[in-house]
Amino acid sequence: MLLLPEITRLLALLKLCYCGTLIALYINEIIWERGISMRIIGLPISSFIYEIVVPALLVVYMFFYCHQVKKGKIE
Amino acid sequence: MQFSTIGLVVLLGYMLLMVIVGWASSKYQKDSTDFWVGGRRFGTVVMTMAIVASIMHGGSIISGIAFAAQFGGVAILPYIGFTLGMIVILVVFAKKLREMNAITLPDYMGKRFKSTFLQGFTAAVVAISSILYLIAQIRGMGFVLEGLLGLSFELSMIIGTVIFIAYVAAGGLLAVVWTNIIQFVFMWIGLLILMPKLWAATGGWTNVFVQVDKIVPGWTSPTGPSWTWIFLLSWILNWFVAYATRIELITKVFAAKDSKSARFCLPWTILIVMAFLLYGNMYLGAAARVLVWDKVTVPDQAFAVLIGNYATPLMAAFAMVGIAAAAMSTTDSLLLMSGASVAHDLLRKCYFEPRGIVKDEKFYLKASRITIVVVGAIALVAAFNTPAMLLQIVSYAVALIGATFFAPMVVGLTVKRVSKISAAAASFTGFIVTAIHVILSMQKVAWAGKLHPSVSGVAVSFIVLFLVNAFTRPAHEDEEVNSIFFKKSNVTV
Repeated sequence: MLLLPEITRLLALLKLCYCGTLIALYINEIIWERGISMRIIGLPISSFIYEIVVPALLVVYMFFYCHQVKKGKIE
Repeated sequence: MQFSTIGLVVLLGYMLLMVIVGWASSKYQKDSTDFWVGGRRFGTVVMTMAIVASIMHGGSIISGIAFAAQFGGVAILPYIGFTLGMIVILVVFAKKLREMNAITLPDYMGKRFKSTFLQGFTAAVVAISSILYLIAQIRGMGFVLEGLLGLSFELSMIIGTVIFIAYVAAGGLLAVVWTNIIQFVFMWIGLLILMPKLWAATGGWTNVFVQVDKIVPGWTSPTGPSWTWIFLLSWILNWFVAYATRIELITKVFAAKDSKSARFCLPWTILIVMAFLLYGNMYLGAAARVLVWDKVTVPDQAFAVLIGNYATPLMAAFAMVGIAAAAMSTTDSLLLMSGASVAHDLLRKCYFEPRGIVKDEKFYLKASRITIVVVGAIALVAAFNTPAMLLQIVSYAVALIGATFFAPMVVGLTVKRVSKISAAAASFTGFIVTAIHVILSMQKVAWAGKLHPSVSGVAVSFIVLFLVNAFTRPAHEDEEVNSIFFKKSNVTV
């Protein structure tokens, strides 16, 4: 079967997200169970990691991808 | 001046602006490419604002605030699914879809798999799903205008629908994009104008979340006070599929001036949508739960009650016109999509051209405009008397489109060896399985309610595609398909 390099990158990214989400969920469990409320911009840190940081990292990746396109490194 | 008088003045000004844009855009319509994809002339900034306006609809504000107030942290769940969906568009779809010079998603199905049947079937799915969705959006807009103008619900729907049919029929996508940009501005003014008063009332950003978590323990957790992790994850998957195949978004990709603009607008879109969800749903939802929840009888009233209690008449007028703008910015895009499926895909590509019937561009431009008026009128009539069951189905319209397109698009654009029959089978089973799951969910079958219907449809669609593909002849042996989708530099063995 023939695959594009994009799909390989996408799978690697999905693996990264999966691991990131698992770590975030693990931290969430610990923090939530102990009732620690470390608040950053108003959200408890557990929600903050899961809901803001993971998507924000994906957006950074998108900007990086566009930058590579601009430089001609990705077609 | 009373609220309704100020509201009327602001709304009339806004609607006049819409009509002027429609009239000005009509001057640029020479052929059907101008009409359906705005002559493919939009740059990154225009694309970003237009996409944001078309995916942030009236429901995403009114129902989004109600949803956040009720269920807490889960309201922010679209973040991950939405971002992943946009990455798929950025990395896999955008360049190839833009460079194939298509007009609609069914166009892709027709060209990639050399199949008029597949183009016709997917066009019918898009047309039906868009019209269903359109009905719900027209009703939403009717509720907003009813509150704003103090007119009857029916008259409010007629006024709003006539306005957006007029500018879409006159100016096509060019009018939709420029009105979307104006709607984008109104929408943000409407939301942000409330901020100072709510900030003072809740004691600030952090305070409102501390307070809401005391009132509803677990509100700020990712699953909120009542969702399970499995249900949450199936929703994230649904958002991922829905955004990767969202037709009002993908069609804008076809309208970009080049493949770079089609891609560069996507991360900016996400940033703006994330800001919207964080403030427009989470913050306002928490504020509604803390400040006015005891005065709310139906969750969807939360935003209106918030405005009624914490906004001056002028602020309230702008906020409500902002909601009307959000509702219109999606309805006009949906009207254009359903019109394109009928006039471009079904009439031109599946009926006239295969039969060798030659019609000039003037004919197709006229047919496009007539289709827009007819489709808009059908949706308006249906919106007058919508059965409750139909409204339930409407909430799954996006899932039906996602399950129909997702597998043939992801695999078709990345894997060379995909057959026409396997793509058709995947598309068909994705639609059917999701539709059956929707019906079972509506009949309250226990297992069906634990997963979002698109999850089963997409899963079966992928399985069917790979199984059927193993036993059928691939479409990549066709030179035209190869030259459009698999130029040598794009492929590794």
